[in-house]
Amino acid sequence: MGESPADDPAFLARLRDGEEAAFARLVEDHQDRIARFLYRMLGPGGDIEDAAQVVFTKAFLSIGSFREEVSLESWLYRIARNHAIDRLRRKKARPERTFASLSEDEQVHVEEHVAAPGDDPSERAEATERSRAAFEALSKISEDDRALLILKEVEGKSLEEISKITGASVGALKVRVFRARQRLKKAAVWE
Amino acid sequence: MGPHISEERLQAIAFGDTPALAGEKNHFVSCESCRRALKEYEEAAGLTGALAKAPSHPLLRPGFSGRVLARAREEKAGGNWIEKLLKVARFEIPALAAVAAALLLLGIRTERAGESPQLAAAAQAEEEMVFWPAEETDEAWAEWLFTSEESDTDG
Repeated sequence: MGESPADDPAFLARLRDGEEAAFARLVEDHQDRIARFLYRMLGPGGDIEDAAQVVFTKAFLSIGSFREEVSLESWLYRIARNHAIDRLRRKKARPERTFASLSEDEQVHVEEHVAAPGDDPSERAEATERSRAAFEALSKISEDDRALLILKEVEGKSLEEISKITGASVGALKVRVFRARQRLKKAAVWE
Repeated sequence: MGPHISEERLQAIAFGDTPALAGEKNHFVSCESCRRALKEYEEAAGLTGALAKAPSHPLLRPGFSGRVLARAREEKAGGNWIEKLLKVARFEIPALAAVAAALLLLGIRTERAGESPQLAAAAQAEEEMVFWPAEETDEAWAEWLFTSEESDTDG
């Protein structure tokens, strides 16, 4: 994140006043991070543009309910996490989000974009395969577990930060992470 | 060989929370079971690691914040309309409920007050009607039976 004034009280007051320029700044500061998180949650076939729009629109409309106990970034992650979980449950996306079930275009899209540009072909193929396997394994565990593992292992959030995002205590999160890792291991082994 | 390494420790080592201690490293050399369990956890950790690199492409088209603001304005306008409707409903629905209750109460009272004297007298007479002979004599019973049969077959 750049020099985001997100947690500056004056900036927050502007957001609460509904100042669009301030909100646009908030969006620009966080849109890439939130979009990546949504991509990891929803998978390559998810409509990330729409999901991200929903997340920021919700933030815009409910900024009045924001409490400073958490940072604006944690609050945005909370909205994104809840929305992604809702979206997965509503569309029953788990069985549909397997790599094999993606359309040919989507599979090509994953293969082209998952690996970093400039990788040699063999590395690129390996990265694609690993990414495919990751989405496949994540699609076999619950949405809550998936969100928790993505926040912890992929986004690199601390348990304290995840606690602010999810509202669960750090103690409870330790247990949940332990169990989620067990389930992921099982999903990976039985893949 | 020593005791097996706990699952918590296997996870912590595989997911990089903490490095393996010297004793644990030695244990992995000699214990096939712990080595295999560690490998499985390392594979799971590797999957999440693969996602950390994804995606390499931009996910949002340029001008994203403008599109969000447009959508927010639209939803806010729609939300205001719903809000107004709810505000009206908040006042209207209890008032309608009170009126309905009052009408119901009034209706019950009117119904009670509106019973005709003739109907009330008939009901009273029905309650007081004697169905059995006045006396427990054979003649009385025969007469009662005769009149009952006559009335049953009338018409």
